[in-house]
Amino acid sequence: MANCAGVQYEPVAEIGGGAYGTVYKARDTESGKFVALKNVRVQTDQNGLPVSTVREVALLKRMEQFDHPNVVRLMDVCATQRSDQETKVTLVFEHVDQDLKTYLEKAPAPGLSADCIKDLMRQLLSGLAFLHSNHVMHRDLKPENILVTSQGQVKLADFGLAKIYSCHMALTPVVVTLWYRPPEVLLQSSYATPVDIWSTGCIFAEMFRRKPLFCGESEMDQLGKIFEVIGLPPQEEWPTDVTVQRKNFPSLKPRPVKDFVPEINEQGAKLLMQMLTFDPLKRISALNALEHPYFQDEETKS
Amino acid sequence: MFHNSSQKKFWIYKNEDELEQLRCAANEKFRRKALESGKPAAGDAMLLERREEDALFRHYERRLLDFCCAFKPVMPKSVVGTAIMYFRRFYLNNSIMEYHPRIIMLTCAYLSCKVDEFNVSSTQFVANLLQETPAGQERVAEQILEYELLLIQQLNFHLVVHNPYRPMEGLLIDLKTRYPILENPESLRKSADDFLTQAAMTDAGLLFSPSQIALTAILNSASRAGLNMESYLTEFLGLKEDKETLSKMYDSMRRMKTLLKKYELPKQEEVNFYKQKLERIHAEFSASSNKRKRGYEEDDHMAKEPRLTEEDWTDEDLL
Repeated sequence: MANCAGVQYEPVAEIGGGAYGTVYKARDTESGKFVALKNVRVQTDQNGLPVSTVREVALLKRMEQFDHPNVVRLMDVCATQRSDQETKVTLVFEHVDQDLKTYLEKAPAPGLSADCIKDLMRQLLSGLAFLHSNHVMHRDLKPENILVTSQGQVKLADFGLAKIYSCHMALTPVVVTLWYRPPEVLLQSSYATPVDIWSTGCIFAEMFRRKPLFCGESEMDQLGKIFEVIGLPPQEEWPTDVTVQRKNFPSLKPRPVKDFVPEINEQGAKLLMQMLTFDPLKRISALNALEHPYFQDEETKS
Repeated sequence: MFHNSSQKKFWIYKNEDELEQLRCAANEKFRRKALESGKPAAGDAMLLERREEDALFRHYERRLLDFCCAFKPVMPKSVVGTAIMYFRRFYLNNSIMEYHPRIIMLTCAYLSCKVDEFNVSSTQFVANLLQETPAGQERVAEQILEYELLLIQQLNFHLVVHNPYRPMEGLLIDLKTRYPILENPESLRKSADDFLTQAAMTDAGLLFSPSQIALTAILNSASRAGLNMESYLTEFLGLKEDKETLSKMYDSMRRMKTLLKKYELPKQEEVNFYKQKLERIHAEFSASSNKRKRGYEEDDHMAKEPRLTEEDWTDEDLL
């Protein structure tokens, strides 16, 4: 039985784990509601709690009072010192049964309907626009970090690498899972909120394809796979603050969207390419994406 | 953004009475605990009264400011402001009889460095305790780390503090670009900066928004320089027609200035007397209650007991 700020949480099942710690489904014994307990074992050194942990918790706490429908709600935080070398931080989130990865896998053939994809995308972008308007980047968007309730409500989760940002700062290089990583991160250039839009574009395509769009095995391989689809960008768009040179890649023309996402409609294809734009400054914002004609026109029912 | 921050929602209070009630409750809570313990030092006369606590609080808050201002490398203003705000928030709900302000003030400064991305190691941090031996500095570092988690929890994990420094910069830029009546807005900076430093040593940050404090600082600086900036409020901030907002703003400014006027540092002989009382209280109650003092639940197995008490180093070690 976990005790957090006087509230009892009774673990029901282990629902995930990794290098960072374990996630449990638990019952709040007061309300009877289910919660997700994310236990993070924090190694403390001669400087105490790591700065990253302190900032993550501060950020989560800051987001807590907004209660946005498309952002998973942090309900409680408690920390317990176990020893001089370790502190256990327990983050108590609202519980959602499945993530987008599972949701896509479970969808019967031929996959999600066009209307369903549009609805999921609208919610995803709405959550993202909210984060970005509060100067927060998610930085680790992938299907496993997007939760989908039984009612089809999308909730962004796991701000493990989110950070209150100051515009155009060069930040830590290794962030987003490789397949959803934008070119500026792969090239170790400076980045800001457009990183999340690139990841969203990759996820958008994946909803139609039911498999990831770019499956690179290394940074260079990932860039190569990206350029095979969007084409090699012109020299003037290549960032100047990077060591990797444009001439290392073959000159490729952009491929038509229908080649790699055949089921997408015309407006969807246009939006996708605005999300998968090489230059982060030219990439569409979450707020503008929500205003895109793709979300205005109704799908033609066959 | 302040308007949708945890600061506005959880750490801005209606008036000074509300703050005083919280502080009295913290004092009372410790008194009850002390009396229940049945220890000889638990008599009413042995414990600190609210006003005595307040005098010591102001003394240590001043020490915190001095420590931050003398810090090498130079500590950014926002880090100093955040540290002082942590210190004020912590002692809203805790008595200095329970947690010694000498270590809490340093922990506030250390945590503030982390949160505001002013990266200094614990070794670098305690190297600023110039009167301390290296061994003494190491002991202080250990204590800071022992209290860090307690502080974070007592601040309810609300670690992002909005200070008035950025709004003040914004106002100065606005004056330069949109208010030609004022020839040299930069001339207001020094006096406005001093106002913000003074305001940080009062409850202003728990009663007013950062932009209100910044605006008051600028207008106060202008009036001291014999400049009338009323037209900036009415014409340029568009409050000419909005009499109610303008009236509220003037009222806030008056209240803020009163706060600053009322502020005074306690006399040194008073401080010395209360300090002796405080040391006796801590000698009596701290040693046997490390677990309470550490402020977290133990989990699975016990953490090591603290290796020293606050009494192993003194105020004189701070600077």
